[in-house]
Amino acid sequence: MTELPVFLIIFLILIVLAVWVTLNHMAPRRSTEKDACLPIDLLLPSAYLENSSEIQRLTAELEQERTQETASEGLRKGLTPARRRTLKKLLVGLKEDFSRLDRLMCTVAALAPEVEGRQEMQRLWLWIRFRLHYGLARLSLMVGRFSQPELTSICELFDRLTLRTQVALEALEHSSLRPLRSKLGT
Amino acid sequence: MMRSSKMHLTASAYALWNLSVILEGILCAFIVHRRLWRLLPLFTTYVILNLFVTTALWLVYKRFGDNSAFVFYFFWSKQSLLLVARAGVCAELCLLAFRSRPGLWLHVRRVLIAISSAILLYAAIDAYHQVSVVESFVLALQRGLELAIAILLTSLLLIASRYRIRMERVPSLIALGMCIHSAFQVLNNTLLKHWLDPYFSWWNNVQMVSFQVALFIWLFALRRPLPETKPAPALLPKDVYHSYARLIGQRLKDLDRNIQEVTKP
Repeated sequence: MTELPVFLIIFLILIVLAVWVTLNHMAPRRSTEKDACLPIDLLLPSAYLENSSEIQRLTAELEQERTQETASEGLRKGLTPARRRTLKKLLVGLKEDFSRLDRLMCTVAALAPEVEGRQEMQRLWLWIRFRLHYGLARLSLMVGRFSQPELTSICELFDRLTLRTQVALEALEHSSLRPLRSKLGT
Repeated sequence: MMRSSKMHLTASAYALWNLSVILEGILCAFIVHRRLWRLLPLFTTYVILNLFVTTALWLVYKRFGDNSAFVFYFFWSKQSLLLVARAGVCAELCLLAFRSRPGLWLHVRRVLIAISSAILLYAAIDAYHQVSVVESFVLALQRGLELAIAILLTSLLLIASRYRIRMERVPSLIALGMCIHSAFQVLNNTLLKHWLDPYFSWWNNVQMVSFQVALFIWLFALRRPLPETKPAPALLPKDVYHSYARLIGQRLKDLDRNIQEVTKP
């Protein structure tokens, strides 16, 4: 008797997925500015670049709170609405970065004369994992779960992003990817 | 046994039957008008075969009546034949979507074969465990095969969407119509096995209605002329994929680690 609910769920999933994918597939493809300049911006963490001033301010604030030896627990601000907004922007930016790179790799795979199955499956698995982590992070942010130590670890993450951005900008100056821009931009 | 008395059809079933034949006739006319056999020869064969066997079944019912053993065997042979033809259409749609992407097709083919094999194995095991040899075995086997078709087509649409492979309007809608019909058949067979056993006519009606939904989708797909065939895209040099895969793979892992750090306790 458990058969019916199982097959009912399978039926609903199949119908919803098939209709959604077909309608999505038939809709005209939006060509965003970001998509057009994908290959050349490959190494740049755009999540950081787009919100760098806000992220740097938050980093400075958190650093100050961390180093204030005299500050008691009560003085620490925790997750204020302004910080929540900055973190949300960062999360959305990270997702955007991930999606851009994944889309680019899918385009390259679709145009490649040879594709490595293992590599593609790994990337699919990574995509599923990332979407799960992203969903969890958004949920945590929504319920305001972040406390001071977590905010401090995010501060360290921002530091690493700053460093990587500097390295990436230097690498782009000598980029060998530029000739591929016209090929993949289509 | 379904064979002796339950193959009886009600007046509504006959009405739906007539509607199906009319719609199939219109679809055949559209196919001829659009010369669809150039693009999808197996789908064209399937639609013509369907029209032929549906008409033949109607004549057999008229000639031999509801209780005939010949009607029973003819009905299930028709079902099996159409199922095989639909499997052929699935393969044709897959090939059409990926034929200009030789690298990706080798990978996608392996994935689709693995998915189909797993479901077919389940179907065989499920059918083997049925107590009643005729009804349950046939229904379980048919359900498994329909499930394989529905999942295969959904996977095809999902993979094409992920890799941004543009499928034309007609193949996409044909895949959607076929997927909807097969998904309804899965549910219909599950219901028949448990509750609708004495009501063969209801089961048959649901099957015909789901097929008519598919027919409407296919007619909608063929309402405009077929677009001209686009030339295959130029492929990238061989080493581009491997160099990009390494670089982007590493960046994606970094991003995943970053987002994990945001949520770590």
